[in-house]
Amino acid sequence: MSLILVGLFLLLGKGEKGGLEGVVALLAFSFMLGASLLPSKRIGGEGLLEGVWFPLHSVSCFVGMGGFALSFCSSLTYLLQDMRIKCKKGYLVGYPSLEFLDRLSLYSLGIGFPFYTLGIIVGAVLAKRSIPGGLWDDPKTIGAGLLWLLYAFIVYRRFGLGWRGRRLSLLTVMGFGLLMFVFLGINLLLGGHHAAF
Amino acid sequence: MIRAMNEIVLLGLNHKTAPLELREKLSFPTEEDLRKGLLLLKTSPVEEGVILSTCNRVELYVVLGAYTDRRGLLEGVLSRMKGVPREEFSSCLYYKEGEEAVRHLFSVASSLDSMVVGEPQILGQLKEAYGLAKEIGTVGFLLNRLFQRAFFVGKRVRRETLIGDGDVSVSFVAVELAKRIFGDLKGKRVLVIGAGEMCELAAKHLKAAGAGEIFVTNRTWQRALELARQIQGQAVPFEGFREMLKDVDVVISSTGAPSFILKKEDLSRILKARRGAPLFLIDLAVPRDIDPEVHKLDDVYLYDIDDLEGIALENAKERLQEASKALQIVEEEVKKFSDWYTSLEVVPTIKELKAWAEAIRKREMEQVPYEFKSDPVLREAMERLSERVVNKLLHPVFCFLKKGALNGNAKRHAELVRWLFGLGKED
Repeated sequence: MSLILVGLFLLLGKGEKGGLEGVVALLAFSFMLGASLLPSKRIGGEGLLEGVWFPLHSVSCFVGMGGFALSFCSSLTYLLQDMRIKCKKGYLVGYPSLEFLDRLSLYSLGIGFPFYTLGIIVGAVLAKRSIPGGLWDDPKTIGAGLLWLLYAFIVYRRFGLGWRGRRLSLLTVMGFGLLMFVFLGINLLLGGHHAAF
Repeated sequence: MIRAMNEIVLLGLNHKTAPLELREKLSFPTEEDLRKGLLLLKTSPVEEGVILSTCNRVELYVVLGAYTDRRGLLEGVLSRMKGVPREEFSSCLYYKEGEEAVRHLFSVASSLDSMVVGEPQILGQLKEAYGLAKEIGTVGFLLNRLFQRAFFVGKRVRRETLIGDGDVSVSFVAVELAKRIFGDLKGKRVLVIGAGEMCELAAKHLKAAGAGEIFVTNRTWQRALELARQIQGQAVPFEGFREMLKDVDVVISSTGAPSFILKKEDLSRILKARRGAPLFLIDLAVPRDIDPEVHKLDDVYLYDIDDLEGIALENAKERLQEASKALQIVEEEVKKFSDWYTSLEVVPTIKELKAWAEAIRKREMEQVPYEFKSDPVLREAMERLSERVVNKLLHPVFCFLKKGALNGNAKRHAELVRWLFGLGKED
């Protein structure tokens, strides 16, 4: 996920950057740290991990979340920059412009959301086929659904209605907070089928 | 053979060393004067020369061989050029050679030596002086390189420090802030309310920074038209300007209205239609035109004249720090130039060594028996092989020479190599 985040950033974030690399690097680093510190174990389910469906499910989920992570970085920087401009102190030379951050956030959502959607659909199909009764009551499945709804709302406002600006950035940042909870919090606190990752 | 950098010499005076009357007497106010001066320079012992004459300085940059009293010689030249006796100005001159002279030129080009540090004209004046000297034919290999470097240094300082932000004016700050919000201003729409001088200036700055359409509105339609014509904008009726707020990006306001003409309600009404697009309001009026409360609205940024002036003042302080950054750049570049200069000393040796090796290679190729040589493929292969061997063998020697050039041992290293390979006539 760190790789995807940094890759997307390099791809989309051409031109002015100043100050954003820091946030991206920090997040990428904490993902890697997290990945190496968190308990790892193999998940069960015979035949579940075979075939093309499972890799498709996890890869598109991860690409999707990489996109969300980048939109989080740029939205967070947007909020900070907004605060700086509101404070009326100094020139702020060397910081990225609001418009650039907004655009970056837009693009990364545009890439992240379709992949995440694909990942969820594949996951649902997978669960229905290989696990009796499906995973409808798995906490992570429910969380992922909620997350999809939230991001769908953000994407609809951005792409469908053409909104931008501070509030949407705030929402994007909060969306990522929920993502981190669904992704890690549920694993660590509640358990369930996805407990291993 | 071996050159010394102190052949680059500077003689001059500026606003710090000489009073205005003297600077006037010694200056070259017209191009004609400059031409005459340069032609006279051509007949003197000076090898190369450029005359820089601005209202604050007169400087002669020359390449001059090893004479006993070089300063006296140059003063004599200047005295003859302007018909002013030497005693009158001698004490006000500065004389620098070698690295000192290079450093001075680079500081001048970076506008560090100017009366108003950071003023932008000097680089252009320097280019003109150089261009004219080139036309007359007093610029040679060395000054050519030196001045090209000086232009580069001037640009680099401007690019890498804020020293060039000489204009610490309110409208400049406003444009900088707009860039922090919108990135480049290309295609951004600007609404100007009122038609004062301040508005005009700010609008011109925005336009110069790339802003797109500019709309002008005023209670008096005639004045709106006038300003619109001056800044190539479009006049719009005053009654409808609040509606326009829906789709402009920057608003500059400076009317004589006694109270707020733009209130919080006006803006919160249209914010939904803007869909979160940032709006940058610049209030240049005293008393203010725009209710400061609007700054609290999302995606609306209001700066009034006090805010902008505060930042401008802060900036003036920062510029002093920028000057020290610029000095560092100048130092770096002086070092680079001096490295380049010293590397010149080893170039002839490198050339000679190459020629010597090539001669040997050719001779040995001649010795190859005819049956090998007659086969073009074989011959080609042998040529390449011998070239490769020669180059590989000489490579460490070239490295040695270049290293010598970089750490100040050019002369010693060159002599050693020449002695080792028996180059040159003296052996």
